[in-house]
Amino acid sequence: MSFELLGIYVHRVYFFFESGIIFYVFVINIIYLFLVAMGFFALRKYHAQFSPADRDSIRRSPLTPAISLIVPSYNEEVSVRESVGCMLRLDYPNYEVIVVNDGSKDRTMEILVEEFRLFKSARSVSGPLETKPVRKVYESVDPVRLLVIDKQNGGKADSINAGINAARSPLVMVVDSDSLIDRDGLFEMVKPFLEDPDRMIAVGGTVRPVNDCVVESGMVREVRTSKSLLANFQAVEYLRAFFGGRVGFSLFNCMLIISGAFGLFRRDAVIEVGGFQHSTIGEDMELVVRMHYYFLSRKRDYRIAYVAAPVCWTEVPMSWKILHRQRKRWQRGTVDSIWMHREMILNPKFGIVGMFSVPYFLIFEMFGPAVEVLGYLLTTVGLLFGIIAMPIAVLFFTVSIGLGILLSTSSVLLEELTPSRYPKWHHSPTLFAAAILENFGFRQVLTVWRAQGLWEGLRGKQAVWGAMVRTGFAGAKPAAK
Amino acid sequence: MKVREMFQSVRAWDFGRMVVLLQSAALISSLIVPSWALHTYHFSKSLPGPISVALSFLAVIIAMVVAQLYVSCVLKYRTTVRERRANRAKTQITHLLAEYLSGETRTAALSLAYRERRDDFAACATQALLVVKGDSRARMRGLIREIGLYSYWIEGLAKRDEAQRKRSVDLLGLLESQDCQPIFERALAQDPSPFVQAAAIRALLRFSGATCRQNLLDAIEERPFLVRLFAAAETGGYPAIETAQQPPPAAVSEQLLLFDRALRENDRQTAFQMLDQLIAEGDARLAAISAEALGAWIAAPLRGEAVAA
Repeated sequence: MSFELLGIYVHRVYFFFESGIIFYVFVINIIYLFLVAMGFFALRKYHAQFSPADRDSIRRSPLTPAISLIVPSYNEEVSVRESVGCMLRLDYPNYEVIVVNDGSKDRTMEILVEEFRLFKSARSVSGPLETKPVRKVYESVDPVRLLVIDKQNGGKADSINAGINAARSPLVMVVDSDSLIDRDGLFEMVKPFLEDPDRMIAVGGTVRPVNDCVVESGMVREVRTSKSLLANFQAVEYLRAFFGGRVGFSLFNCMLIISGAFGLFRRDAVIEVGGFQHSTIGEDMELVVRMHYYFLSRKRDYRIAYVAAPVCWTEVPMSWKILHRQRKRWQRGTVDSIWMHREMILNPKFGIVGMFSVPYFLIFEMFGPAVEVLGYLLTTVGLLFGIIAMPIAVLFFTVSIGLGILLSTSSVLLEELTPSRYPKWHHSPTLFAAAILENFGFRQVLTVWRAQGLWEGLRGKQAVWGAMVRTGFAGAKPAAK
Repeated sequence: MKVREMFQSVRAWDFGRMVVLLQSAALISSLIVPSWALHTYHFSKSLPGPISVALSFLAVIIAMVVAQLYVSCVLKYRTTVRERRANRAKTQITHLLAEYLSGETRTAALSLAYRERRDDFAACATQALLVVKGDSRARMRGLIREIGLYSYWIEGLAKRDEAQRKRSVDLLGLLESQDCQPIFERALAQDPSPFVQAAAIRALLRFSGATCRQNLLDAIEERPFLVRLFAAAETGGYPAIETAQQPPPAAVSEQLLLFDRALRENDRQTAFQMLDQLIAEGDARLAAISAEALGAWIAAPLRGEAVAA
């Protein structure tokens, strides 16, 4: 009799948890879909580009703000030539490129010296942000605006801070050294600063995978879908993250992430909040959250925006091992950023950021993977032991996978509203296939990895960057004959 | 005034955000409502509750994904076809415009082209306005008024869409006509968008007299930064005022047109001659642009690309 009673209790508790998880997954997917829908309308409404006449005016105007591109570089011998070359060919009237060699152990520094004919510079690179000692400073012989700082290894945040110290411009852009920027990307990135120069403190752009695109002279000449399913899965993921989430959050000035690969910041604001944080591996997100914290707690008016048009093309991991490390690292970044600024959670003093953004990231981005993994486990175990009925399991998988597919395909459709889109009609079926297939295995694997990242973050385990195997852009895809 | 400003800011930003929220809610309800209807009126009659809900969602999701795929393919295909057609049409319209500007009567053909492909015509007319000067410019202005493009641009000023209003101001600015001065002044004073204001001040500074320029620049401190930035571009150094720019001689515009035509007709010899004359005329900027175009035109077949004039 008592066993029967226990069985009934187990069933009830199990059903309660399972229903809770189904409800959670349904809500998270509906919120994602809502953000994608907002992205659809906001992209149409707020993301008009500059006309050629406007660009001409910006080129000629003495009031156009200068930009310092900061390129932290560590063991990037394969791609640094192409990416720095690309950055020196950007179409913008007033900018400089500052490459910070973070004690690379490979030939990064030699390649930079040879390729760009560098000589030792007397330029002072000291500034308000503390960094590891700078060994040497180089400048280019050619009349290009290139400065290379060779410093002791101190991590990405340390390198960026060294670059910010050396920068002479009011705006600083942080770009990964394995990335290529659209030639006219700076015009679009600077647009929010021209519209609202007093309040705008940071702007994020779009990042897309460059794998299998045609790259010529450091420029993406033809956008193509990759032959690798793994790269296409990531292409869909990037579309979902940028056009879905960030457009919606940006509309309400509560965006918490600006990608470390492509972000433009007001230099004085970054220095005022203390620069990039060394102690976290997600320094990009942490800086943005800290900026919200700093400005809101002082009741200062500010804006952090996202612009969809400018694209930074980056090489995405083609191996599962590296992808595993990257995703764990990203999750650790989220955990660190939210934990460091936990005071903001549901704190009305921080407005919509405290009442919506940070709780959203806490509940759905930080703990989401754990709940989803729990859902898969409970459902599978429940089915095996006959604790839950088949209809409930079917409902869980429909809500989880079905809505996930709709979310991904909607993001692919959103891409039609932006420039630099995949041009050929047959790209659509490829991307849609990736958007559907990623929900059968790939997403679940990522969820498990993210849950691992969450677990490591909660345990306070030391995070490591790990090495990314680069193939480089030059040999990746020659231009079609 | 404050109430009006408040209303303008609400209309431009907060109201806009609310609209986006409502639109998004409507879009999401297009997923939820049909699923609920399918569950309530169809599947629940023969299936257990959870299966019915799951099937309803699945049916709607499949329908939406198929629709999205169709829309995505069609949009890409249509864009490709439109671009191809637009390129063809623009070539024809440019030829017609070149003939018209060289003195031939092509008004009927141009009117027809305008009626059939208004946007392509507007793009070609804009290109022509950017390069031609002197008599050719006057002729171009007359044509734009005669066929109705001027009225089309004026209509654009009243649109709710900021980008459309700005484009109208930009294009009217290219006419450099004194008649448009009140239009630009109104846009500068009344339009809530800094982009439209910036386009208006650019247009005003390009053709207005020294006194007007001085008045504009005196009052510019109160304007948004973007407006000041565009004004500085026109004056070559804010807040200094330069003397009005002299338009290039009419001969240059004729050479440019002939150069353009020579490229289109694969007449390399004439293209080189015109380039020589452009350099001789001393307009370094135009000569550089033309030389670049000629270089690209010569290099294209060597790279195996189609020749694009």
